[in-house]
Amino acid sequence: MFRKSLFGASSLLAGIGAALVLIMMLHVVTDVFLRFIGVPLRATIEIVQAWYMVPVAFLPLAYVEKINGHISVELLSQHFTERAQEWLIAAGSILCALYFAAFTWRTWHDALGKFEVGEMALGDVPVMVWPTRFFLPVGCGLITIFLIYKAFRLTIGDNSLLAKNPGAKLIE
Amino acid sequence: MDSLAICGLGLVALLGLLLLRVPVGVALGVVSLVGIWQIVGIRSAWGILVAIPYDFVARWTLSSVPMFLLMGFICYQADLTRGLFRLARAWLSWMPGSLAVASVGAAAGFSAVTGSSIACAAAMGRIAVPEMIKAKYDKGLAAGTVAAAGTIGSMIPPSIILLLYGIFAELPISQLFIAGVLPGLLTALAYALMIVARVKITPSLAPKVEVKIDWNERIASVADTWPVILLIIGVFGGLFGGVFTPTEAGAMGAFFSFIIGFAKRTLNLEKIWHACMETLTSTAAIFVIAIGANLLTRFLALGGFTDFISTFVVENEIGPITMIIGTMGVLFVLGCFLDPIGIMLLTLPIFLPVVGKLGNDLIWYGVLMTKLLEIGLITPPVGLNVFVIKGIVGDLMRTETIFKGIMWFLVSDIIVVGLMIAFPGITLWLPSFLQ
Repeated sequence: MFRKSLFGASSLLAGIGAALVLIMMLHVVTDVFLRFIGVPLRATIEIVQAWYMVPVAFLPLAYVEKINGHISVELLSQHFTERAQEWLIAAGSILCALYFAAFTWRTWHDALGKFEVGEMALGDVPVMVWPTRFFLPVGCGLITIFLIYKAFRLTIGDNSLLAKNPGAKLIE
Repeated sequence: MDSLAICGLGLVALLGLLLLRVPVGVALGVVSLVGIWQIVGIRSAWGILVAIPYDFVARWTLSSVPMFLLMGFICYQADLTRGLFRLARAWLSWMPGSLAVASVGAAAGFSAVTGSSIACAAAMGRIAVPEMIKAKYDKGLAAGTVAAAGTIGSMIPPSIILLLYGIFAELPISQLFIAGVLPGLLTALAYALMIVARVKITPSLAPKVEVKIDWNERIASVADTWPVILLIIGVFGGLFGGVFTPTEAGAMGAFFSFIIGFAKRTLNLEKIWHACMETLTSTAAIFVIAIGANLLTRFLALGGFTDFISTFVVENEIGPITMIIGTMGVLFVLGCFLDPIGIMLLTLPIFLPVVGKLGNDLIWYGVLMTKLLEIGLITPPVGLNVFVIKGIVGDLMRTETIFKGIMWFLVSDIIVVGLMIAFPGITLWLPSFLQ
């Protein structure tokens, strides 16, 4: 049950991110076309920066962890026994969880502060951006939970979370 | 403990964490935060934790990364490489080893729509390797050609590596992109000449293909590919002409790739969703490392390490060229083991200030660095492009066979790097028109 909702939440946030990639492209293209006929959209830059880039970067963090898409070096560890590798990854996951937990904690308080002052970006028209501050604690918080769960499963001998996604290596 | 010692200790700890399989971005971030805490106190470390991730990501220039990734993934999903290969094969059929030369040509063409070498190798591998095996080409030559030709993907614009480099070094993206064009084409030319020479000496490597290709096929292949060629001209004409920003060029490129894919009926909703998801996960994975690298830059600057290295280089009268060759050596060695974006973001905080201080042109350095990182994709023991091709050919050949096939391409690459260092004009001639 817990696993299912964790996976579901990761996929949901990634789904929102993927949709935003598409919407971002269409928004920018619309702006370009409208510029050619002399009526460009307003505040495209401010909206892209805050409302697309921030969720695209942070919402999929847990999903990227789920498909084991975070880049690491397997040079030395690949010579270890399978069980030793699992312990190593469990320990690494705890370290990662601490890192992202620190981000979650700090950015959450930051977001609350920005909410209270009602942060706006000042371009040619003011754009409300305080809600986008909450994408950070949401994305970082979910990957923190995911990493703790992963470390726990690995220590009790369940390595089903280590399956590689064949499509995850298509970058660079 | 003085701050310089903390920096040194931090770099050793970083190396240790990487070897213990901690994800690159987290290793960079953890070491930097602990280091900053030790040097200037916990309040600064806490403060940076809030400021960096949001401010780094929420930037207009950085939004070109997902847009160019999307363009490349859409073209990949829409199978636009097939037409490029057909075009190159039809027009290059008279050459010795024509299928291999055509693979290089098609890869150079696909490089102009994708910023990713691995995607380029994967796309070419699916199409060209089976054709070459069918024509009884030497297996090492067939697989090696495609793995090596894929590396042109990050040289010819768009290039995710050059984009990130431009953002870190604060250089104009359009100048960096146009600077990669000639070195990319030179790489393709060097590969092609080497293939022709090898086939001339040992004809059994690539038996002549019997099928006669007439002018009808040549014209048909152009008719099949012109939308992609128009797309490339439109996107980069707009970017280099100053009509589009990089983000706009990437978004327009992605949009028109959609249109071409739909018109050719090679795209459907599922493939579009795949392209969006791949764009998303690649972007997030890159940004985690980039945020870590940004933290490392601050840590090393605060600890005085950056100044220390610069002073060391100046006091010991290390010349600009020695410095360049030295950094190239480091990049080559790291390239044998790590992935390109990781290496770039790991080394930039250390190399960039020094290279700039010695008066080297940073655009020239960026393209050279990209070339070295690309070579790292085909050097053993960890050559990601080779692994991608191995994934495609399966049990048909061994990984060692592909690495052996790579050897002559490596020789060509080293010659190209030598030419790029000896004649900076190869890189800097085209950007001079944009200034």
